[in-house]
Amino acid sequence: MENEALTLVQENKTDYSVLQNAMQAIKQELRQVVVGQDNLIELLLVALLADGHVLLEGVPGVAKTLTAKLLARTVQVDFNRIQFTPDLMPSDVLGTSVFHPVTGTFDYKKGPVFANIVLIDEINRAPAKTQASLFEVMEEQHITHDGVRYTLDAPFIVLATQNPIEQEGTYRLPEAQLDRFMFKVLVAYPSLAEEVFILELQHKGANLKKDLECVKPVLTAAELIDLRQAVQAVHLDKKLLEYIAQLVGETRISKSLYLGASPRASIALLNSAKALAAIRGRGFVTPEDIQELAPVVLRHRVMLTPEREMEGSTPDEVIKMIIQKIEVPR
Amino acid sequence: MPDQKKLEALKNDSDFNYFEEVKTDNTRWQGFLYKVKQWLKDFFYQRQASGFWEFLMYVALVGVIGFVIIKMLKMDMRMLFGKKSSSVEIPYDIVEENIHELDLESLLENAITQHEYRKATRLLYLQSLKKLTEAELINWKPGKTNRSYISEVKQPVVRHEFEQLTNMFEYVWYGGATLGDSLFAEAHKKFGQFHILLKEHK
Repeated sequence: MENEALTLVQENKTDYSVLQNAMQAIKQELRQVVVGQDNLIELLLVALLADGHVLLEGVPGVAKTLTAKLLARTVQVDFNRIQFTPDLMPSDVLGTSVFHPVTGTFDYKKGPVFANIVLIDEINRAPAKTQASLFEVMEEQHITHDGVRYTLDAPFIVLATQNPIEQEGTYRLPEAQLDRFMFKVLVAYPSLAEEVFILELQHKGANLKKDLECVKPVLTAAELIDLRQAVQAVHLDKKLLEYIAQLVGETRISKSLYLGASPRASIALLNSAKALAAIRGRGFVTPEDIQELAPVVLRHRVMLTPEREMEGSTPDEVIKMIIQKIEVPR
Repeated sequence: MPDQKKLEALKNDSDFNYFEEVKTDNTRWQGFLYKVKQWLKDFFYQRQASGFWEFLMYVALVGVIGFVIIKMLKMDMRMLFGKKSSSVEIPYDIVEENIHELDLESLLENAITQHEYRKATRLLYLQSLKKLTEAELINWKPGKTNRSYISEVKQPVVRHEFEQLTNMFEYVWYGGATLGDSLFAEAHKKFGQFHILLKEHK
């Protein structure tokens, strides 16, 4: 059966090939060093285009920090890394006023958060007061110090890693901070084949430091901002807006959840679905995009009821049931 | 021997009087509480209750305390009997459009007459889903996406054609693409051919 009608309809398609090519190039750069973790890489690219912060959770040694560091290398922007420790103070992150003996004034010395891509390693090792210092900068992209506002340059992305909460010496992040992350990605162990490949590379004398230097920047800050504007132009049908609102709204009334997701979650789902559609070369969002991203957008924003926790349920299970229950708009 | 007068004076001295005067129940509420207390006291200690009634009272008391604890913990009562609650309950019904109950033919005719080609394409696609369900090639469920249905179709020819039509539907319905008369006529023809294909595979 010839599909002329399809060909004719596809003429309406917006061209996202430039964006697709750029994302493909970033993936290739990352794959020079990172084995597997395709889902993690794709989600990081979605967040990069959707202007969202990402929380990576996984046990030690599954390439969370490495992948985040490499992503930062592929974009030609300022990059800083902060290792969160139990004694870290808010001023160690945001900056502090230092007395200048010559002028006799206090000068603001910017903290490491002043960069385009900030990697916060082991974010849940710092106490609540240090976590709280990130609230303003993550949401509003500026810092207020001594009554003066300091705006950060765009793009500004926080990539944070954390070990599971059961690990010793970790704190649970405040809900307000968790809500500021667009995604929480659970970084899994590599598959057997992938692990064999990692060992093979190591056996052949792979040099991680040298490999890291091989990763070259693909985008400049200005190019990234252009691509983000292209993502904004992705079409999203009104029925799908309702679908997003229904999914998120359901988390607020579900008997299995003690805390539902906020409107910020709806916005994150909307923006990320548009970015995913663009990466896949589509100028419009489909329900698949929303369903695929719903768990990573919602899992850290909802809290199970105590009885669900006692049963051993996970937020992902409840989210999956909600997705199955709500009718896909068509 | 102490001086009797002095002793009497000391006894009458309020500083050495350690007994407080118990105030009587003045209000109605205090009176009511006093009566309840007396009744409970009478019931448990003075009445010659039979062993059976006493046992029943204790069972009821344990039951009430247990119920209050369970309510406070909001526990699922079924868990007490080792039964795990089956699924997440969603307290309201989402308005669902059951494609098997819709009169798709007449809705399609209306849409075509009114030149609403996007709507008509949607109805043609819903018709395809209905026919695929009737042919038992897919299992229709509200939360499934178009791609889920494509992966359910096992017959390669049907699957390929359905995938093509799904792409077209998605560009039109989710992508907001507009269809003119000739373009819709082509689309209509493709759907018609697909429905014939489904009849052949029945």
